[in-house]
Order: sequence, then C-alpha cells, then structure tokens
Amino acid sequence: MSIGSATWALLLSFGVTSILLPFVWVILRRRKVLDVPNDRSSHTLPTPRGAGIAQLGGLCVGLFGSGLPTLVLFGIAGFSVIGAFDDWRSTSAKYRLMGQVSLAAVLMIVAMSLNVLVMTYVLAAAGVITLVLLVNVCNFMDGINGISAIHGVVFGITYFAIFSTIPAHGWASLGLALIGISVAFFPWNFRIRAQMFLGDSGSYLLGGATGFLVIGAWVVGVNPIVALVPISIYFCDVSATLFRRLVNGENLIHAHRDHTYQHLVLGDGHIVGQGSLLAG
Amino acid sequence: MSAVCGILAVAAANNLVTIPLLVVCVLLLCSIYLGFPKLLHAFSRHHTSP
Repeated sequence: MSIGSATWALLLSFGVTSILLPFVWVILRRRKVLDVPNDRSSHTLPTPRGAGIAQLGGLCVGLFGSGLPTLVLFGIAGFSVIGAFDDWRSTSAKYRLMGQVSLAAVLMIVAMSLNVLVMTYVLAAAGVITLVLLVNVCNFMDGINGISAIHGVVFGITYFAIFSTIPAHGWASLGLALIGISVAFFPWNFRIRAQMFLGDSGSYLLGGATGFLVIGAWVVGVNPIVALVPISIYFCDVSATLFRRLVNGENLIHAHRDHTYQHLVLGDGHIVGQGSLLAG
Repeated sequence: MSAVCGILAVAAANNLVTIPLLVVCVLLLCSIYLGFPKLLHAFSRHHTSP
C-alpha cells in the first residue's frame, strides 16, 4: 500500500461525504424519511434518517483505484442498500435478514470461486456468519448520538494499524476510508440534538465494512482471535442484552432501551455523548 | 473501551501481547463495560443525596 493512495482514500472519503451530507439531509426532509420518536427512543423530535447513503458515496469515491477487491465494495454497497430500503419504506425483520444472509452467501461464493479472496470453505462459512452478525450488531448498537461515528473511527484506526504492517492490497485503505466517512458525519450527529441519523443504510454500511475488515484480516493471515478483538465491546453489549431479555422472557425482536450503552445515558447528570465516549 | 481493545489487538498483531493475555484483558474490559451503568448510578446517587 502506498502512503499516497491511502491518504487519498482518507481525504476523498471525508470530502465527498461532507459534500453529499447536506444534499441527503434536504432530500430526506423533503421526502419525510424521518425517525419519529416513541417512548423507547433516545431522541425527542422527528429526525431525518439515512445519512448512510452519503457515506456510501464517500466510501466508493475514496476507495476507487485503492487496490481493494471490487467485490468487497459491491458487498458493502449491497448491505447499505438493503438498509436504505428499510429507511425509506420499513420492511419486516424477516425479509431484511433473508436479504442479508443471501447477499453474504453470494459474496463469499463469488469471492471463493473467482479467487478474489483466497479462502477455505470453513473461512467462507465464517465470513457469511461474521457479515450477517456484524451488520445486525452495528444496527442494534446505533441507538445514541455519536456511537456509530466514534466506532467507525476506532475500527478504522485499529484495522488500518493491523493492515499497515503486512502486505494487504487495499485493506488498509478501507480502514482509512471508514475513518473519513465517520469523521464527516460527526457534526451532524454528535450533539445534544442530532440533525440527522445514519439510519439502517449507515449502520449496515458500518457492519458490512467492519465485517469485511475482519474477513480481510483472516485472509491475510492475522490470528482469528486478534481480528475479532476490536469489535468485542459491540458483541459483548449485544449478547449480554439478548441474554438478559431471554432470561426475563421478553420478545427479542421488539424495540427496547436495554443496551448497556443506553443505560449509560439514562442517569441524571450525564454529559453529551457520555455513553458513546465510554463505549468508544 | 473499544479503543483499548483496538490497541490490544494491534499489540497482539505485532506479537507484543500473547493471545491468552489478550483474551484475559478483553474479558476484563467487557466486564468493566457491562458494570459501568451500576457504577455511574451509584456515583450519581452519592453526589445528589443531601
């Protein structure tokens, strides 16, 4: 990886996302693609959701010519588009899950058949599970202002640092592009009253990108445990919450405010972004 | 918390931390994270009580 192309990935993804975000904000408001608060929401006013589409634009431009397999970019875009469908016209959880599993399976089969990613059957199966799990984990965790943007930066820096020490075509650029699109979203979301939410298009994009970073690390020979460590807090929060709700006999797919990061902002005297900063 | 996990992962990728030690540290960090809300509420109660 040359320093020049990596720097371009960072700057272009940041610049293009920053330019696209105001346009996306206007379109979402005009088309009334709003997240209307209910008693389980952490916000109080209807807020446009779907900023992930601007991030997808930034990611595609930033990674153009970076050496990252095109299939990876198609995969991330595919997950983001599935999320965008839900932002614009709410779809049932069953259909979304079917779409995620089908997309992940097709991506791994194509990657293996065309030798885009050199992997065994076991690794390909692990790849499908990782992609689907991470897309949903990132979606569950996207519940307070700033948490996804902060984690986009943290995941990006971590995987960039891991990939920059080994010859890995374009993977380090994906880490940097993730930093760029996340930083560009900060001014819109990391404040007391968010101007815009990522929506499923953004949380699916974060999950897809992080999932591919994990798979990429496995493919280039990074220890499987080491590749999973950066996302352990996300997995820990989601699995502990699901376990708690299962034990209490609650419906697992109903909306709730039981995540640890949500409890971090419910108490009195919290500062802006306290939960996001502690988790990040 | 995720940033600390990230630093540990990078250290392990560069063979500065062994895998067993990495696993122990991550489990410890996850336990601290899950215990944070109780800690914050206890701290908040302590400072708001007359």
